[in-house]
Amino acid sequence: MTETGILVTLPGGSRFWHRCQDAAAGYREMQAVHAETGLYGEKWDDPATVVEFGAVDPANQFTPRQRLRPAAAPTPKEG
Amino acid sequence: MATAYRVFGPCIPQTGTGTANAYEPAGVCQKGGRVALEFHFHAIHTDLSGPSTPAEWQQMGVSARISFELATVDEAVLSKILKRSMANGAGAEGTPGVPGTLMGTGGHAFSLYLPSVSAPPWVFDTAVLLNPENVEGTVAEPVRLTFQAWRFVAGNAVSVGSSKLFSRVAPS
Repeated sequence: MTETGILVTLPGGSRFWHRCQDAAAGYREMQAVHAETGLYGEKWDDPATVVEFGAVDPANQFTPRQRLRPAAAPTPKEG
Repeated sequence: MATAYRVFGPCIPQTGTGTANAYEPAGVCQKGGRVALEFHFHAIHTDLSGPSTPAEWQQMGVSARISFELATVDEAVLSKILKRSMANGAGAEGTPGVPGTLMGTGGHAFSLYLPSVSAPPWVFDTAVLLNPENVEGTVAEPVRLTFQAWRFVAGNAVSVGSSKLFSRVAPS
């Protein structure tokens, strides 16, 4: 069975997993939990923290579908 | 140094059983988590100290036993903890792996993190579940879990290197 969720990777390499069906709703849940309990660590707001929504297959391999943070850098304009 | 009250705060244990070994909350404790460090010593006896009391005491490592009662449980996480501790993370729940399986080397062990907002957290790099206990009935009962943590040393290592039993610093 494939499950979906949000994978948070802190700058030092530690990861946190939050199971959810919807990226935006799941991210809001994580924000609320972090604000209330400090869960996900002090580096939650660090600009280098990577937050991705994706799916995990039965072999525990994560395939990102959407990057939530940091926002993708704008494509440089040519010319 | 001045003394102060010591409060850990609500204990929400997390296990490194998520995707890519990410931490995920297993549930909320009913009465906190219990961390018991186990110091191992070896006694050296001499005729000068007699056979009952050692003349010297050798340090022989430290392990830890972590236990808590979860009032709320993420059943999916609990299932992963059970399966990995049975050395069969990808198999069916209730089917142990091959006897003799190496828990650390085989990637079955996992990290265990007890975060705190007001005190240094506990982070154990390598742990397995020892004694899960469920009371099934009409009244809501917590799930009682006990973990064993140790300092893992890989089979191809020629020194313990940076391997540690625990740290008191939040993951970064």
